[in-house]
Amino acid sequence: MNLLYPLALAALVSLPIIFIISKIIPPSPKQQNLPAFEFLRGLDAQKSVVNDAPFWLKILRALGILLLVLGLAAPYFSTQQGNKTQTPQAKNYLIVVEDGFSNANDFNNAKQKLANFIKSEAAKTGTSAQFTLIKTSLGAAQDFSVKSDIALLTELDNINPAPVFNNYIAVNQALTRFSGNAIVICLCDNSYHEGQEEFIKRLKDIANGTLILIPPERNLIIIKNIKEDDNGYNINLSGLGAMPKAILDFYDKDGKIVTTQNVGANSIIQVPAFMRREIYFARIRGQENAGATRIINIFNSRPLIGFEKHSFDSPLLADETYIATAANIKGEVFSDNLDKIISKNPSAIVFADRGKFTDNEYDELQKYIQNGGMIIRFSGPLLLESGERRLLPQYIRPEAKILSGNFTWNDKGIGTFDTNSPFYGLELGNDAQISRLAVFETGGEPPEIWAQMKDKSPLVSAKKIGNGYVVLVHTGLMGGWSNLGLTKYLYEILERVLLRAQNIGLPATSLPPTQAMQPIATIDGNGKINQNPMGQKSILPDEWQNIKADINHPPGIYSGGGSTLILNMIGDDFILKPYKFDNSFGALPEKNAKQALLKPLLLLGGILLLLIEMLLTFIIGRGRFWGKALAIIIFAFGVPLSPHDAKAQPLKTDDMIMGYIATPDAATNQKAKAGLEGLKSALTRRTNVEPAGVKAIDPEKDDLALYPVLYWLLPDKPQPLSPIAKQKLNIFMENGGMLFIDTRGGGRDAKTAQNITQIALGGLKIPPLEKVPQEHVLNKTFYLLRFYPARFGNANIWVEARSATDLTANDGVSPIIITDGDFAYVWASGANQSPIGAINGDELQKELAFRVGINIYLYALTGQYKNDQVHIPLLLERLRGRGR
Amino acid sequence: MQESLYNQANIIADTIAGEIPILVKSAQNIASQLIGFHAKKQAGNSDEFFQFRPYSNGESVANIDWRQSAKSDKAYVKQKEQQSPRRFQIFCLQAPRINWQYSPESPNKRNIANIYALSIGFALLDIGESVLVAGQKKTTKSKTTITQSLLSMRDELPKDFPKGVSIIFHDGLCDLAIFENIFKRANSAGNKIILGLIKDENEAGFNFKGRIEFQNIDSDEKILIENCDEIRAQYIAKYQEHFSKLEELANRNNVLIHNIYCGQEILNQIMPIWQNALLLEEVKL
Repeated sequence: MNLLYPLALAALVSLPIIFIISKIIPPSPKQQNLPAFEFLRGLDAQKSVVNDAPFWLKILRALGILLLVLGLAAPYFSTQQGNKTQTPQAKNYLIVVEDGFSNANDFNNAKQKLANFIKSEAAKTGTSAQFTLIKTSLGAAQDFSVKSDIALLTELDNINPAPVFNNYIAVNQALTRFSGNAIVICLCDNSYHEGQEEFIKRLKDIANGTLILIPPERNLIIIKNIKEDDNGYNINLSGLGAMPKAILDFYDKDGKIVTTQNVGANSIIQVPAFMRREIYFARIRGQENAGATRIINIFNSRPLIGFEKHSFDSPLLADETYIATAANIKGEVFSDNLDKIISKNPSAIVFADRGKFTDNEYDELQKYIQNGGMIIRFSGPLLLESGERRLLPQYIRPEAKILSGNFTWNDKGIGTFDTNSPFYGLELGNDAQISRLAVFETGGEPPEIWAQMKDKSPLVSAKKIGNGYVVLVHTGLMGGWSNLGLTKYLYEILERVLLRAQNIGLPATSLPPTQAMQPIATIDGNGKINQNPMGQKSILPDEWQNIKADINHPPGIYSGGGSTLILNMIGDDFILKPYKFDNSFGALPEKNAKQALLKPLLLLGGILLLLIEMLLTFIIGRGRFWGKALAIIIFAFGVPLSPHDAKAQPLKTDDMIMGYIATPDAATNQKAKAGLEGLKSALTRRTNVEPAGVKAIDPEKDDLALYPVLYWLLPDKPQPLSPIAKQKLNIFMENGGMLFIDTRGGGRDAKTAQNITQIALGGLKIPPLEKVPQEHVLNKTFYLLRFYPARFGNANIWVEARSATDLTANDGVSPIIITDGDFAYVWASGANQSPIGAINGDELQKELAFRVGINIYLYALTGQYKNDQVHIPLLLERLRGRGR
Repeated sequence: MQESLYNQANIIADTIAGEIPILVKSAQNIASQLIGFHAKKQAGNSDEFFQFRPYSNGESVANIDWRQSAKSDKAYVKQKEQQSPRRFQIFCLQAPRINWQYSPESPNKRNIANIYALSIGFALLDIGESVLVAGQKKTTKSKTTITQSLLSMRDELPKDFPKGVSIIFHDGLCDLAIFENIFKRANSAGNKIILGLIKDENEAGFNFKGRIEFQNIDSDEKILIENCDEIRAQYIAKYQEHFSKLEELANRNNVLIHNIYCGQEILNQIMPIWQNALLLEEVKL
């Protein structure tokens, strides 16, 4: 007999422990003082129940546990330590496993069936059965080594479907090396593969008797093609069996579903362009194979950037060096002559300070931009002196504006970015110094200003021409113009500008790669996408033309050499055909009943024995019944499960947990957490509210109903909420939850603060708001408050306007509180004595900030309670006292 | 050991000091309801002023209070209060073991005992009597003094018995020989004892369940009871035997016993004690 999970036997170590524990540790008694203690002396009482369990009871208990552990170890009879009493009868098995993508649906189920069959066969034959395994993904490279049942089961466990086509021609060639007869078991799907007839014929020759077939339960459906047109997608599906109807999910690059469509074999679906821009791949729901996943758009790609080749005497001093370095970090840079660059249709072409274009160059560039190209020009003396008036957002003056000098008083700093700017949210430090700027002549059509100085001189401007852009950086990188080349800001500026470029990457068909293309994402046999593929072979330039997904080149996205390629599992020439196995194939025989029953019988026997033991214990020693019962239940269910279920103890639902909304910005989350931790200890110390913990909440996934208040500290670059999150937060607020939003606006300029708040809260049902009026209950829920000091001095707090408040709903508690104070910053200092952030002001201000937090949480928990008339005399007295 | 008990008693006294106002207040309430059962003051020969009454012929002229008489056209005699002998002694057990309650919601035995003792004491003051707190040298008319003296008491039982009535509040849970000793001493001194036994119903009925380790409050001694149900009957028998012996002892020595149950209404239980105290005193007089 063998064990499927021999490690489970380790639990037997607990047997003697159980013996010892049940012997010497009785449940600890309750302690009780008694004045009439004297009367307890000399009573005829049971002295001790320790050691009272009779030996036979312990044996019973141990036997029960032994059966449980054996059951969990899943024993089965093996040929290796075969039963000598049975007639030895050698049996050979040839196992054919189709591990290509077409068999991926239900592959694990089929594997399980096969494993059960092997176990039962091993049990039946009781002698050295020999197994030979064929994996079709290996093609001709089969090793026909003979394996024991255990070795086979282990190997089987490790087989996963590969994103390859079954190559029966190669397998068939290999099969010539297999001699003798065997029982043939095929774990095969119902689709036709090339060379299958010959292969089946050979299998029949090998088989002695019926061949056994384990087919998948679901019919295979694949995506034949998805073509994008102006209105949406043109979709072709192909399937085995009836005309396929399927649900097609379209995903973004992060694996979130953008849209879901019901499709047939040939469907034209309408998907708006803005949605299509987000869609990267599609997958048929309920199909787990590489053919049912299709990459539509390229993700993870680096923009192709063309850079005009120049020769300079001292390249390190030239602005080209800086730009080329920066561009190389942000994209795939190639340098060449301008006409060759344009012919490659890159995402953008970058020009350092450059003089006039020739007419020919101008025409070519103009065409390139019209078709969606982008040129990025940096300024400098060459540009200014050239008198160039074309391929610029607007005419520029021949002399630069000087920002630094003994007689200049301009503010040299870079201004804030407009929400329309691609730079929005970018923070350029004060170490970016701009000394000279190219400036526009007055008049003419105003260009888009993407970035400007504090004195409103443009720093980056752009003009849309056709589908593309001309972008001008108004300063240069050489000495005397700016130090941008020496800072990281050049990378960030380039990255943001490139976001507006249309041609991000190129389909490989249009352009052969100049060097090997590395996989940047792959699809596995089950149709899952791996965005960090390791150890895959690259596609060489000469392979590029006729490449198909195979064992060396899994489907996915390959990029390099100025080209990017989407390689899907299903190519244009693939035709899905069914294959009908004839009646020489039979189904898997029923499972060996005895074998199947062994594990449950052992488990059941163990549990029964323990129950009997408990009952006997109860009858013998009534007093300690429950303690023992609990101990046995914990052992019986806890010990075997603990290795799998060892998780941190979850917080109880009746504990108050202070939730904060997790934002994409880890630093903001950290601040919010630290703040709430500080407030939590203040609440615990001063009030009856004892929060059990602080938890980051993903409004999309978590159950919000468990949190009375959700604190939301807005990051500098908020992301709009997903539709699910919006809906869940709206329901949360409607049903008594309170959203406490801290915009941190006090530390931002008004417009930025407004933008950030608008982006973050878009789609939430915000009621009409007003600043907290003096008589509002928030001012008296726990402390009496008149103002709300926070990080930036007195904060503003807005609550639902009383005119809009429905006092019958949720006790009139405002579903939302918005503040601009950055309270988390101040509260964070409360958790320990050394403040993380010092407040502008004295300790009193900090104390008051804590009081505001305490009042807000108690307001959420107690509602209008403090507005009850009964509190008025006391409140008046306190207020009068304060007045004195 | 003695020292630790002393310290413990001190600590406990400090602990309940905060409860004094509450105790005093309820004692005063109860006392005010008791005094309706006592006659008013009588004229006597103490130093305390009682009243002026008109001069009657034949009385010694020296008795006339001339200052009062000059205010009107009649002659007045100044009467003084009747001098009370030291008749009432009060004792209340403050030992650590009586500072006990069955559960956090149940009444504390010592609090109950103190409320009774203070109530009786205050009521006696209200009817114009002086009260001797056991262990003190002088009688007092001050409620504060009574309160302070009672709560700082450290003896198991009173040591001295002057003539009159001793009202003792005790849990009855000490060696019967000690009781016998003081009963005899009181008898020989002509002192009548009223013994209020503070009992807790849960303690008397051994209202405990399961496996409990009991601890002696006066020492570190512990006894583990595996199953309380098993010994309940034996315990109750021993408890009742102890108190019936005490009652027997009391009967033999003319001591009046009043059982006071913590869970029952105070006024119903204190009234017979009060009436008996006054009766005993009047019988004596």
